[in-house]
Amino acid sequence: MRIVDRLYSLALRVYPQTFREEHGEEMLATLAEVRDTGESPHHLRQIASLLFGGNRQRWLSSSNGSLVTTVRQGLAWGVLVLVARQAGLAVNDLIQPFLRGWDDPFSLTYLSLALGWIAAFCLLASGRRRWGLAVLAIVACGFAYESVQLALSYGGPFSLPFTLHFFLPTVLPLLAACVWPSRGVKLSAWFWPPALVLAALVPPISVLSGPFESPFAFAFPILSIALVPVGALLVLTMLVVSWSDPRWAVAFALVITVFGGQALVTSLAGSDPVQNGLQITALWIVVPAAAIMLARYRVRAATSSA
Amino acid sequence: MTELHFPRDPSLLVLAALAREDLHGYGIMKDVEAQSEGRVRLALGTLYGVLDRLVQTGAIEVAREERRGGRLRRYYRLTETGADSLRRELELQIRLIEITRSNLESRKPAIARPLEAS
Repeated sequence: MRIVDRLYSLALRVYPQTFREEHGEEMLATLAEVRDTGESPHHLRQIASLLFGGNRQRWLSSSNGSLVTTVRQGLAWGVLVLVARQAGLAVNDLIQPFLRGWDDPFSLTYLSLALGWIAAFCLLASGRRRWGLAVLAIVACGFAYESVQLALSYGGPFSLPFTLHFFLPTVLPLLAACVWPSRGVKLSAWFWPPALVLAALVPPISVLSGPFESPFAFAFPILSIALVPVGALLVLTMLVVSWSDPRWAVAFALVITVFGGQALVTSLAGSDPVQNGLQITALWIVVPAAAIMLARYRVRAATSSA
Repeated sequence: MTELHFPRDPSLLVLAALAREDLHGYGIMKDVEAQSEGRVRLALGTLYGVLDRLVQTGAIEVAREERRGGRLRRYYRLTETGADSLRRELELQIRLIEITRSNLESRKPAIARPLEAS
């Protein structure tokens, strides 16, 4: 087999299995026919079209042909990952004083927050949509209430740390309620063991590694230059992740955005008012606008189906 | 001069190619290229994505399959549903062309006016 044929076969593997079984042989035969006529098949263009076409088919086939449903389910999975992480951090806050031998008084608030995050995760991951979202809303409000003093101490109510510590946790349930698929999201059994292991690993890793300090100076010019390769890498990763399941690609994009935002806050807190202003605008305008648009779409879809 | 593009929706071009006769993948590619005077060359990924979608929506169907030299050739046929969609789209395009033509014919020539003194 020629190298180019092998490349075509590899590129075809990007397509979902059912599509490959239906059209794979036919597509290779068409390519062979193009070559037989002496025309140049423009290998790079054809391979690129197979990669993008295959990816598109995966997006379409993951939710019965609806891109919006794929995105909504992906966002729901991303929210689940963030809730799981929040639960891990809450448990960590609770047991760190014991592990490190600090004299902090035992806090009932921290205990109820930890239990709340865990309950919200369990309810949502097992498909109990209404209860899960209600618990998530209550816990997020409690979390925001607990964090508001801390967040204010970073630099006032219009600073990025305040926005990220107060605004996002309260908006998250709103966004989740808007995008959450009406049938709920039920994760398969294989998701639970790694999730539990990761959650259990947070406290010991935190104790062993100590507080995280970035070795890089995240100055604005360096950050701007770094954004291009980082963005390209993210797009590439999303492409590769979506070959397994596009919904995980959406979830990955959401999680990485929140983590990236928090990393920025850690390194830039209050140092650049212009940049903070831009990011706050994005968060205070774009996030609610996206939530409202999704909610409107949902109402419209429900009306048209009725 | 501004370069304008003839409608390039691949679904429309594939339906137009199948309106005359049943064609297989390579035949459709060549027909689309000829229809568009070489402006549109469907890549493999685009073509089969469109064919799959049109089969799913019932606009086209598989007419027959044959093997030549061990290679699979699957011929596609335009269904009545597909023909109706194509007719509707065609009427829309014709209306657009007529409106544009009438707009151009009733267009007043631009008159060069002297600059007013400020």
